[in-house]
Amino acid sequence: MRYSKLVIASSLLGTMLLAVPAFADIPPPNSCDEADAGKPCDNAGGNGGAPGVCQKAVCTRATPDGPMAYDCYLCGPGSAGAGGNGGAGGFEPVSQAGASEAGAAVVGGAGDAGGTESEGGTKSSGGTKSNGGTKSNGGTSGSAGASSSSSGDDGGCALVSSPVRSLASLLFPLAALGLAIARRRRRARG
Amino acid sequence: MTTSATFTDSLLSPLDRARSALFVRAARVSLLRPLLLEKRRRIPALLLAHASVALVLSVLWPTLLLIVGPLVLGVPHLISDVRYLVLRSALSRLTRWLLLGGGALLLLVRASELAGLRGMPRVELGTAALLTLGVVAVAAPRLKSRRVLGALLVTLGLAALGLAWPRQARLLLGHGHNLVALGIWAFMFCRSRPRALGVVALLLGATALLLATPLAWWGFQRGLPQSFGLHVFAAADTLAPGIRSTPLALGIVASFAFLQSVHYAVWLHAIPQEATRGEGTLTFRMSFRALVAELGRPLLALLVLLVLAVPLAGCFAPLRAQASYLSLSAFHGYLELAALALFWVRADAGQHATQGAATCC
Repeated sequence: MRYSKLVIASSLLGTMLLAVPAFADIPPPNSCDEADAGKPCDNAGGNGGAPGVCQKAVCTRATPDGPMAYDCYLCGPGSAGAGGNGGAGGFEPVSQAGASEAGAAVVGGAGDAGGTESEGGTKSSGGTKSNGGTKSNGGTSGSAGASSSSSGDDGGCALVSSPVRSLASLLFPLAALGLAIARRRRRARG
Repeated sequence: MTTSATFTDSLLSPLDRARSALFVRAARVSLLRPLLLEKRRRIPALLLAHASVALVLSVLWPTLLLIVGPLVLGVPHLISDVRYLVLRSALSRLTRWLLLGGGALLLLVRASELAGLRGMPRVELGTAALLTLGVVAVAAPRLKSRRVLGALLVTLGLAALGLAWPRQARLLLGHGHNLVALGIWAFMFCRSRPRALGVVALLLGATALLLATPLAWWGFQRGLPQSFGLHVFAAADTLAPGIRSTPLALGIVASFAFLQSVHYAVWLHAIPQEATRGEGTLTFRMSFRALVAELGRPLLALLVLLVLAVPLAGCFAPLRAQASYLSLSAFHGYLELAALALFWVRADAGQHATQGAATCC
């Protein structure tokens, strides 16, 4: 009895240890400081893990009063991919809900500077606007943005970005349950 | 030396005279008199008055607090931090040098990161963990004790989590270290713990109000969302990354701005006054002499230059200056955690409060 309690307690602890950081592990946003403008950064892209350059952008945020644009600095992929930064725009402080409510997908990095050329070689309209919340143009053209914009889940959720941890945190209680059942059966036989 | 002392005295004398005149007038007001004369009332009152203003600003104009606070009060609070945690504490020479050396190393790590070196967050967190472990090992009265074991386990656990998720750990430290300062005041310096805990409870209540109600959103609609080129949404991207609900993200920004401001008040008002003997406060001249005695003139001159240089840099590039300051000042958060661990293993509540060297003005 003590053993199973120990197993359950340790699995719960393990679950908490793995799940809590996973919950807090909101994808590293691709925002960067103004102080780092023009400098290389390593949190570009939807998952925030790609190298890029910190650059000025215009972001949009969904609010109860509708979408609002503001100046921000984002880590955009590469030096030429300002358009891609639209995808970086995939930095969606804007939630899925926000996008559907108000079309507030991220306005890409480009703003003024951007929109020049994306990596895909097309002109990025990421810096301008999104269409009624359907999708972010920036998100499609930018190499990094594509992932987060098209996922439909917005880059906000860590569980998406760290499936291994999520899986691990699910496995722990399952393993504990299995052990507890096995022990109970053994006892019943005995 | 004497000439420069006389010169400084002559510079500070008018300030002291003005201060005395103000005190005398204020003491005539019956409501203010007990607050001015008794430390146990004055410090909580000062903290709460400061917090009230900070609360209003954090709701209506949070970016002002986020930019101006660090630029103007940042360096002075760092000086106070190092002074009261390290220089004036009753520590062994080895512990003191360990804390100072660790702090300097952490500063160097951040400077390297600012210079473009990659992979520094993990180096920083690892160094901070080693600093805490080292301080606990060196300063604990007995290594075989539950307190030491607890401190080691907590440090190792936090270090493991920090090394696994360095960005999140830093963000958490940024938010948490403001509360650590309150804890340091309440447990290490304040003589009346129930009173201190009452103040802390009120401050935490105000923080909860910002986080759990749409107060910050209400303030956003009616106040000023931007200052010095920083929009409150951009601040939310940094301080509350991934938070989808805008009212909640604004609440987190407001709570950070509020607690950061309170953090400055703790280091610049509360702790120095707690550490002063007697019930009074120090004159400017007395404060200056104490600083000279503790830091020495060359270092003090350098620090004064720094105190002036940071806001001056902020006049030209406020965001850049603020970001650079905040980055370089990160070492003091780790220093506070190490000091808290040290306090825990030594269980010497109140010991720091008696380290002052001043008398009533």
